[in-house]
Amino acid sequence: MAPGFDGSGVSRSGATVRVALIGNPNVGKTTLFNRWCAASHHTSNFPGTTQEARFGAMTADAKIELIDLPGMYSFLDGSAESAACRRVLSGDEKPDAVCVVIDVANVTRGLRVVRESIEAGHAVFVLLTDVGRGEETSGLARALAKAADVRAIGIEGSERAFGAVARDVAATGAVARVFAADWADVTAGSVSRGAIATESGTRGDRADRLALHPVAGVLIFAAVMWGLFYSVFAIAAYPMDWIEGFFSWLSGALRGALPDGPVASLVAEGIVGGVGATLVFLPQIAMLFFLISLLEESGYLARGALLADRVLRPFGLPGSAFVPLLSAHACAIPSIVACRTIRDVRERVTAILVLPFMSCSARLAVYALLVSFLFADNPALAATAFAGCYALGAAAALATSLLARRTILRGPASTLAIELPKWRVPRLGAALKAAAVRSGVFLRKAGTVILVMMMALWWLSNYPEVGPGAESQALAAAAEVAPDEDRAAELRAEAERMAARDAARGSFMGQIGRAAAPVFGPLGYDWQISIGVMSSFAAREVFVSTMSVVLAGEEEGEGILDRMKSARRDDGSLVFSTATLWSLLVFYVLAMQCLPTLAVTAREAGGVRWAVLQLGWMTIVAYVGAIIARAIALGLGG
Amino acid sequence: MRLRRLLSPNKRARETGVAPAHSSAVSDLPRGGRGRVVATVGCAAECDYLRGLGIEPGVEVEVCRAGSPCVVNVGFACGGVCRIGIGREIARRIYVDCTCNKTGGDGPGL
Repeated sequence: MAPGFDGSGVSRSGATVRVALIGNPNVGKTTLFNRWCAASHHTSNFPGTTQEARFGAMTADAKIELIDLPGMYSFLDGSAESAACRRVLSGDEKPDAVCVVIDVANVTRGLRVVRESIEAGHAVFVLLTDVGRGEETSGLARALAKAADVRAIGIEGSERAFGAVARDVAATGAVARVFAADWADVTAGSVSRGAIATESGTRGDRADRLALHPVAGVLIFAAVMWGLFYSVFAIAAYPMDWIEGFFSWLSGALRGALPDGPVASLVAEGIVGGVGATLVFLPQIAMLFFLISLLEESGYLARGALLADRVLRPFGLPGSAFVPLLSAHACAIPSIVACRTIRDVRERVTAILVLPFMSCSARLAVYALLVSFLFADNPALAATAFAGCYALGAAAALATSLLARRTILRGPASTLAIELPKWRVPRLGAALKAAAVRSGVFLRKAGTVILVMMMALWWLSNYPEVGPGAESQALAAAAEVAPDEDRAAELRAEAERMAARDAARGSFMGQIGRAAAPVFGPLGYDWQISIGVMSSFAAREVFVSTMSVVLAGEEEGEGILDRMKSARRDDGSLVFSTATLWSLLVFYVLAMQCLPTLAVTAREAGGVRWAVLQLGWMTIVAYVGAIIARAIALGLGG
Repeated sequence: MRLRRLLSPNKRARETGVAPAHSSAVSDLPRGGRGRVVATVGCAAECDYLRGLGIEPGVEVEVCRAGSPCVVNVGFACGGVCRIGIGREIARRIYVDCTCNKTGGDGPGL
């Protein structure tokens, strides 16, 4: 039983009252929750943004606890959202009162939820919202309260007024009622007929006709997507340079300030170098989330989903998979959760399985590194290769989807029906907040998982300490008796390089890498790359940091690209040949290297077996793809 | 079960899968065409979902964009601005009694 409610319909004075916010999708429940509970959960102009219940106390009245629930059209609409609502409303978190949030533009649909809630035995009141349109709601609320015989308030009312009504309704408790079949339609019709002009023939109509036109719509869609990705790469490049410069400066400054030894090495190279190599991608991630939020806010993404249906349908995916597929370019984890909006279970599982093929922001770090290496002097080819990585990932996702829908997830295709939210000018503040929240998640990951990984990798690559080999010692001795200073410096540098390689080879990391090298041999990877690939199974972006730790530089301050260019295998050949770089690039496009994603897949798809299948299939595809890429590159003389 | 029955006024059409006589499919309405829904034909889950979206017998719909995808306005009872995008397949299985003189077929219509 909820605190403050004694079960007899009487709320104890001063006790906490728990109120659930329910209603149709996209009516502003989470916006209200954020405003009243000083929270910062993601909101958007797209149905299905909230997927799980959220709890918070109102700042104006801490004795009112709000529960923000996913939007649904009916308790029996067959969606995951309605199931989540039913679970919360009938479980241990059962609220004292249910507030049905209704958009004044769609009173009928909202009243159906009111009717179902009352029939289910909840104490119900209505909150009318205008979803930011600036319409008057209090008058309509009074009319609705009279016509529907239910407590109703408008959004213009204060939080305290909301709290007072919530307490009253909780105290009164549930009231049993019998409804006529057409109650919602008749009631809505009696209170608001003609109150709101339809959008027919308005700018919204014209915008829809243009955005959904078979030719113009597709061109607009392509232009929007191109603009989105161009902005991510072109605009974010500036702050990325600043961050990279800052961490280089910090690493050098720490090296200079700390006494020479293992602590200086750990701090400057392990922590600052490793975490800095990952954080440099923060601007791209923030930019991508910001732009996706703007599109959501505008109402365009729902139209995009409708257009994408024609493209995705032949591959066994519905148009509603479009938004998860798009946002998977930022991160697969929230995208997998967003797949709950796909109603058909087979289509939902298929989308979850293929989402990690889309190039997430964690892969950007690896793409940027390898493509810069391959096409250092040719930006046009570098951009083409970059776009090719995205295309390869998307093609693999669609091919896998087609295969899955023809075999293990065979079944009839669902039909497309999606609510199109009203067009509106995106709110910059909301988009910035969404970008900040999601960037914060990335920062926390960099500050925890990646930091720990970097410290562990530093330790594994520096211990046990192995002294310089005979060859290195001989070079050092030769430097001592060199005829001139230039020659001595040259010999000393060579001796240091060989000593660093001996140390890396004898370290725990070197031993692990050599043990795994036969597995990665067909792909052209030596023990050093093998370490990078294996460490990436925790998180892909760790590869760049790992390479910066594993590949010992000849000179202090030498960049990761320079280290890669000069890195040698045990036989003296280059570690990163052209064929190896292509093989590595294809491997990273296709491989599943993210443990958190696997955990979310197991949870959302309904079993560990789906996560195992995802890991196994993507690893096989990546392995075979990398072998083919290497063979082609070798055939072309790479 | 009572709630389930209340939510299924078009059960007959759903069980038989037969289109009502003298009715047109939404896919046959041109842009601007209006009609009152008389039945939705398809599996139960599909009909429930359409009903949740507001497309159910008795509701008047207006086609804002004909063709595939088709966009319809629903909820005129409350002066509604609820706009639903539907694929051609499903538009062919929503039957309406035309409430205006316009007739036509599938077409892009910009």
